[in-house]
Amino acid sequence: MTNKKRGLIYDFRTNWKSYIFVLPVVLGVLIFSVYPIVSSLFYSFTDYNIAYPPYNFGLQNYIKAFTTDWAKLGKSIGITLLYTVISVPVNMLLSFGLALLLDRAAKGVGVFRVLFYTPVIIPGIVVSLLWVDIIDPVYGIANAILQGLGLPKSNFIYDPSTALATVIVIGFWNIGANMILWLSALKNVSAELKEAARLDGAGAFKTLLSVTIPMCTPTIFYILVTSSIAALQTFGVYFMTGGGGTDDSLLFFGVKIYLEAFRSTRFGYACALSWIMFVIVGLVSCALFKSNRWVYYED
Amino acid sequence: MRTDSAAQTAPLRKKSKYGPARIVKWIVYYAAIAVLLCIFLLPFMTMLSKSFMTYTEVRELPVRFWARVMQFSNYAVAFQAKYLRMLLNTLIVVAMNMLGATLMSAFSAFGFTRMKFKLKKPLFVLIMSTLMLPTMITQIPTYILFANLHMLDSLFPLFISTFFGGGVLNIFLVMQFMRGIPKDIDNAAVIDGAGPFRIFFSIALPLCKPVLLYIAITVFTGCWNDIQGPLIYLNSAGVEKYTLSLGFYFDFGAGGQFELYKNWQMALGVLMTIPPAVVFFIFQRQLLDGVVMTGVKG
Repeated sequence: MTNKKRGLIYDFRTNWKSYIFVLPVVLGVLIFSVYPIVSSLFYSFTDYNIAYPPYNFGLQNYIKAFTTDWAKLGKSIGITLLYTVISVPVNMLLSFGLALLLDRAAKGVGVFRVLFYTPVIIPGIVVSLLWVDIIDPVYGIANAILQGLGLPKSNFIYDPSTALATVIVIGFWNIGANMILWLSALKNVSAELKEAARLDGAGAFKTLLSVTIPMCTPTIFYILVTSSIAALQTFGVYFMTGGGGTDDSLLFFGVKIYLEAFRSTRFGYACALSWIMFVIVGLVSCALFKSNRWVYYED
Repeated sequence: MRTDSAAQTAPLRKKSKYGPARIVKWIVYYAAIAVLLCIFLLPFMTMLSKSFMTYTEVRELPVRFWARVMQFSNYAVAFQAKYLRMLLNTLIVVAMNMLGATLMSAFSAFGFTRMKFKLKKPLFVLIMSTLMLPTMITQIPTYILFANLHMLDSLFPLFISTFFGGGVLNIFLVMQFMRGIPKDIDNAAVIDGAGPFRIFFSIALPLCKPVLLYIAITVFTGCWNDIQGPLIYLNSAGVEKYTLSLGFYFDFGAGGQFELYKNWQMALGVLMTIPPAVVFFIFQRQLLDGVVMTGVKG
């Protein structure tokens, strides 16, 4: 109690050992989080290419984003939002369906779960280049299979009209990640509630709709928020296209920022773009959190 | 989906365990899973089968699905000095990150759970708030910071930050774990005259082995698979500085010197997949439980 009245200096002197334990992480946060945020905000109001110190302080980067560069940036934002709006819900539905299929005591279920999860753990760059090979318009097996099924060939990511759809479908290869979260949510749905619904004469589908899904809403909300934020920051496509794709059809916002910073060394502009992205991510998260009345919390 | 609801209603109507309707339902169930698995594993099969083909076979039309003769020589490509050097670089980054993440996250977590000091609350809030921060924002200024420190084109930027705290999420995980360890154990040590550092290294650290193992595994796969970090920090470095993932991308990605040599690409890809896959299969229980744990708490 007396310690409370004495100042910080006293605390530093008596509890210096405690401060040594937290010193590394506090320094880490200051150097690798606080300083970057502050300097990023500063750079975003300057022209900066690393070779010379930042110069030309003003709003020019933000003005450029919404005027001269808007044609490209607007398209980039559009692609990113469209990707998020389509891929996140469909991915959630597919992974939920897969989890339902694997949420039972059947022989081999454990092995199936692991197999469906495997795409998640292998190196992303191997996956990207593997898909580039599969969807190769000439030598890829995707077109060979399409032809075998009597369907027309496609240019996949190289054709602006199919590029985004291809990337979305390829993304479904990773539904194992969400499947694991669904499985744990399903395991926690009370068996008594399901039994009660069954005794009331509810069929499997009715039970799913009125017991299982409401009980899973916290997981639905969690996956919705985290995968939306992740989807808005998509960058992996860059390794398939090496840029923005044909006619910028795959110029995701994350790719745009990367290209501005590390290809064109316009670091000031790239920082401004990352703040615009931050605002978009923030708005989307806020909207999701505002609308979370449908989430059922047990306690 | 259809098979699923059918299988669930089955016990309502038929009580017998081996009725013909039930057997049909199980067959449908396994057939559905088998079809899904085939689609899912098709990319892996492609990778594996192409890794055994000759160069002419991967560029043959109509597209070949299997090699005429298995060419194990593609795998020899991976054992060139160049790739072995990249493997060494990758292992250095992986090892440093594993060391930093486990040791430092436990160290910081010990401070926050076991030590007394005035600024505990505000510092903890400050640290946890960085979890919300998108990497988008910090990535460019951090690059500039390393550029100003003349550390670009070296492996340092890929692991130095880990030694400053070991990762906020990891700290959080260790804290959860440490809260479960009874304080009596360290009180006994205090009575024996041990200081906090002694208690940390000889009591707390060994007790945290399970959670540190989980952190070590995730850091291993995370760093082994990382491509974005190397791409940014080693972009203009010489080949001898690359990590495997970056070398793989530069050699076999668009415009790479071996872009067309899909047989080599797939062989190297298979080899690069093996370490994380082996680690995953060995520790799948810890990993999957951990994913759920971080998912629910984080």
